[in-house]
Amino acid sequence: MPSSEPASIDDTEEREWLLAAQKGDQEAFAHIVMKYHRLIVHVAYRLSGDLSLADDVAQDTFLKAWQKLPSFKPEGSTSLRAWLCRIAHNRTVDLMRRSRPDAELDPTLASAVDNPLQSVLRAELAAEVQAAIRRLPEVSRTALVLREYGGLSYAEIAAALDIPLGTVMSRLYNARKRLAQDLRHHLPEGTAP
Amino acid sequence: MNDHPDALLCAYFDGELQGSERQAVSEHLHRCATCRRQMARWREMRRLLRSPLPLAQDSAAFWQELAPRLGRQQPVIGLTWVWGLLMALGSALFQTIMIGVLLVGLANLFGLVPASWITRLSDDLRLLLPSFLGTQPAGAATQSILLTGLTWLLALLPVLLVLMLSLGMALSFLGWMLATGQSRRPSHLPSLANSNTAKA
Ligand SMILES: [Zn+2]
Repeated sequence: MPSSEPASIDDTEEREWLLAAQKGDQEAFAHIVMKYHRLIVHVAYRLSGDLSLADDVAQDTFLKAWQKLPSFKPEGSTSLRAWLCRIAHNRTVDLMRRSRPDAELDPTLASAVDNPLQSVLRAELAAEVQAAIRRLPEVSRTALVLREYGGLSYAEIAAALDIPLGTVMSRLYNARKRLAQDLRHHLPEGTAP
Repeated sequence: MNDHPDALLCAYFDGELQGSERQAVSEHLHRCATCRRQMARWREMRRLLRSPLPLAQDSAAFWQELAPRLGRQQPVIGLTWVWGLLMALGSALFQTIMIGVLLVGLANLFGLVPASWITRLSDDLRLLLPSFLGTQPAGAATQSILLTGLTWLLALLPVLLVLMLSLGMALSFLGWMLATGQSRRPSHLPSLANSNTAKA
């Protein structure tokens, strides 16, 4: 997932959509929603392990973004992506605390269509990966999800979670160390340091 | 086990290191097979993490559901909107007052304001001002200065007010520009209906 792409036509277009949306243009906002919808659902799902909760988070995130949009200023470590991820993260934490304390893996994850055996194996692997993510301590999981699924830079993660850069680094390291241990059967040989 | 740059290696893996730190980790990687294996495992792990996620809802359907909810919750009015509105209202109020004063000025120009009014006004001012300033009531000299000043002011009012009115109109035009000019989208941005640029 991209995190440090050079400024492109895409970015310029996004800036224009953003400016228009900030002035109340719903159609411009639609473009932003379409661009980031998947990313937000992904982040919320990986944080919570619950697809329907992730859908709710996406709705709430974009609704809140729409309301707060006029006062949003993209600068430094608050890109639009980072800002949306931050809202989504907070909302996910809220909803998880409120209702489903430990959601089961969503069965829809295993509903692939092509080659049945392959898709079953793939779905099993996907479920295993998700379970491993869910077993991470919350702070490590959050850093990892924002990095791997949100595509945020360390500075953006630090800003979103209001923690120092060094903490981002160590949380990510801990997350990867633990995850590699959990998923060792699917990874190349290597001794965990 | 010698000291591997653990957390820094992680940052290196994410392309987050620069300068000497990056150089140091890079050199360590040349020497250390353990860290090279670690990097290879992380790369493979990243591939595992990227398994596609079947979404319950595609982005277009998601938007269809979201859009009606936005209508009911208008965005908080932006600061520039507020300024535009305040400027327009402020200048309208300003102009109303000014037109009133202008009428008095014109009336004075055509000799319709009795001299006794001016005298009474200057007399009132003479008594009022010192009580504001905390001094004794002014004497006859001050009263004569006040009287002259007021007469001149009234005579100059029409010129002054024409200037003020122009300024007020310019302000309200600016306010109107600010308040309406914003909702215009750059024309080169396509409409959602005829573009498929929105990426899923
Ligand atoms: Zn090493």
